[in-house]
Amino acid sequence: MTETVVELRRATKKYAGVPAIDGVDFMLERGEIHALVGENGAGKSTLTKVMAGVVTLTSGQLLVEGEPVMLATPLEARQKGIAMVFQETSLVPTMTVAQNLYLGQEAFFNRLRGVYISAQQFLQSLNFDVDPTATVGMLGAAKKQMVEIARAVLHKARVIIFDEPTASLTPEEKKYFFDLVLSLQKRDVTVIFISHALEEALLLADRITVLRDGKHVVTDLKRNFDRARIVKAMVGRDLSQTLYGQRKTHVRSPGECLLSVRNLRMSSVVKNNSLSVFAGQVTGVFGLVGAGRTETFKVVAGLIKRDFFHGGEVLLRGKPVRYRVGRHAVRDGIAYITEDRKLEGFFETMSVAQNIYMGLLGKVGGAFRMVSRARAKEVGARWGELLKVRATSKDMKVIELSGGNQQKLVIAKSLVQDPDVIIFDEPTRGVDVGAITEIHAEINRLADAGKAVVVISSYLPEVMALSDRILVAKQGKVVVEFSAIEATQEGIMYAAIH
Amino acid sequence: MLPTLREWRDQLLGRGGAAITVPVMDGALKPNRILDEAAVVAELPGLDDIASDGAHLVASAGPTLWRLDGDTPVELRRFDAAVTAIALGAQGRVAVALAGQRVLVLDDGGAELARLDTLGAERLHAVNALAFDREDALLVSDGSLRFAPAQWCHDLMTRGHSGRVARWRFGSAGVELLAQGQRHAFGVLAQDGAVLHSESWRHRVMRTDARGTQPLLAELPGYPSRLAAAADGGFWLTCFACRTQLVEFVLREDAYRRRMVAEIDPRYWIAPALSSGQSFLEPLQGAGVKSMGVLKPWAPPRSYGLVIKVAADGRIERSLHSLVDGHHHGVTAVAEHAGALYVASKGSGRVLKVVQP
Repeated sequence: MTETVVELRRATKKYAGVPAIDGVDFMLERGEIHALVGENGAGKSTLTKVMAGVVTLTSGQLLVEGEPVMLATPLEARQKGIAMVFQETSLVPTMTVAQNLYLGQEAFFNRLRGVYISAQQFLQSLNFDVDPTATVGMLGAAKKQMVEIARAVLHKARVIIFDEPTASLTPEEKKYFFDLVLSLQKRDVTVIFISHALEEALLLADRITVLRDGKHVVTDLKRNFDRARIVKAMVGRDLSQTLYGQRKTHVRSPGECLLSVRNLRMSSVVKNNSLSVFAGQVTGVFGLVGAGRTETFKVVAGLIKRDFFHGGEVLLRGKPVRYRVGRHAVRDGIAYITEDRKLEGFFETMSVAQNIYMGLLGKVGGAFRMVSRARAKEVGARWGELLKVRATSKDMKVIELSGGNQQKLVIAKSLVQDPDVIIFDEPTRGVDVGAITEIHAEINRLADAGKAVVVISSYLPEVMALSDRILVAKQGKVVVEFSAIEATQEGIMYAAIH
Repeated sequence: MLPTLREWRDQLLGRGGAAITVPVMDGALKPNRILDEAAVVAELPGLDDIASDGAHLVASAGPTLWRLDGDTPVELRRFDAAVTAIALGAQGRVAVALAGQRVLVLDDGGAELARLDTLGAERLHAVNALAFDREDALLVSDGSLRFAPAQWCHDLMTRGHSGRVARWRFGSAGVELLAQGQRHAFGVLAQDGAVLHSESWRHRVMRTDARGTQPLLAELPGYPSRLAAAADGGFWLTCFACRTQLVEFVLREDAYRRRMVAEIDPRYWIAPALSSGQSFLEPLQGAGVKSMGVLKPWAPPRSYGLVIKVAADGRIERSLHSLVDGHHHGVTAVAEHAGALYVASKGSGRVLKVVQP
């Protein structure tokens, strides 16, 4: 006999009159691993935020262990044994890892050394390689995620909700995470996780719930699902053949070598890295976190600087270039589309059109540039339509868009600059399957149009589906190159690790 | 900025000419094992050059010419000095360079038709490549005025720049100097009314025609050497060794290099080589980059095997490699013959046959 831990009955939550979830019935059974899947904007985050006390229901009922409750704050939820690990980490960046772990649980006579020792032991027990004395702001996305997970586990929650827990984790770290979730299950902890990686849902979950447009579509046991059924339930159409489904049978032939990186060095992250990028091809760059991929291309785009002494060379069309600021790279036709769109990708309180126009100003602007509102609207409308950025009104702020539409906006903001070399860093991280298809189509269209396209991705099926050639980076340098036809997942992963 | 000041700045900051970077071997230059896996047609100690006229395939090894189009190599002729270059022309003509200092054109019976000893005011010194240009002219590549062909490494380490390329009309005995002051001329080919010639120490292939001399291929990752025509209108280029950051560094350290040349046996110099692994005293092949007991194929090479296929417009189409842990290094010549590509690996003394896709 299964026991229901949390239940939602006819749950509805409206923002400004618009329902994010609409009459959803949901039951969570004790000790299960429950995957929640759906496109961006399907209502997954809202559903879990209701359970975590972050938002309250407009109508309907929330029951915890059979009792109707109204959780007004995350603290109340935690007292009921429900904790949530957020997609955007809720850590304090200026504090250390250990301080974040024990935030709110400090003893009256707080001894920092004791906190560090305790945190070290706890992190080791989880097999997380994180320094407890490190300042959180200095950590990468993966390590922040680890700290967030560790904090939830530390609070001895009986229900833990993970929102996109593996989006920024490497394959090895994901394995640790999966082991951790299974060990939580053995301790009778119930786990809900939201994921866009359907393989993870199929691998890890006991049951899967699919939401679409704020409504409950289906809940069933994992064994009754396959990838195609989930995707169809999520988007209401069959995308299985267009999304990572087909293996490449031919590759585009390379054009001119537009970009060449030679023996690049940047601190201890990029170590003597060399690579070329050719026009008319998609060059995929795969590697684990810390392989120096992002840093290499940020140096190329002038966003960070290489080592001052003997730092190697970057050649654009055979000529050495060294950018002090990103605008100079934009002027020369290099666009870098960031992996962290929320931090670096857009101005969140501006509209779609204003953001896209800012991208254009970055290319053509000078000291005495003229700014035209009419032109901004025209450019924004054109590019928003080209990339199918879906906003309910033309003045809608970017922060109100779904993750997929935000990503498309960031892409539009760079493409409006008409670049020749386009570097996509994790282009579909935190993006729903419908938007992934559209972003992939755009990447292929750019390569077909003769642009040199770089796709940095930690998701192997994506790299293999998109790339004409695949560069594998390890510990700061590219170590091997595969043609898309000869590449195998095992071969790429072996090169990335060994 | 004054050139001297710029040079000092570059030396200090590692920029410009002092950046000590080497081009990337990826894309069409992506390493493979085609040369290592190729069939071995013949083993000829002292193997150097190979040429085909469509009907015959001839190789030179030491002072001997060998015919290779049968099952086993057949000795064609033995000379009184080492053959440093060969070319086959129409009507069974053969051109040979002997000891790098004289060039002979022989008819199909082996009789001497013409002889060349000097280019302009200077005697020939290191003729290392020949190619017929129409019926009555021969293109000559003279690598260095200071060092013999076998001493190419001395020329590199002393930053030699005395190479010459010339067209010799052996019918009328006229000589036209096409290029001089070359940083080791090594390889010539007549193509579409133009002359292609390699400049090894500048890592480039030049094209000389009526409009002048322009680089066709530049910034190669190796030291280019002989060229051979390809059936599809492009050409094959051999690189007898690959560039490494270590050698580039040594080339910029004048005092160190001078002492090395003066005091160290040339076999043990920090310099590119045609083969490696003969002695524990020589610099490590692949700089010893091993992981789990395996020499990494991308490790920087002391010796390497590389053949590049170039389209007529100068675009690199593909490449054939013998990696750092391979055996067929030091490729100095190639020739297309009977639908296959024959490769002379001087480092291993082997003639290889690559069946083209």
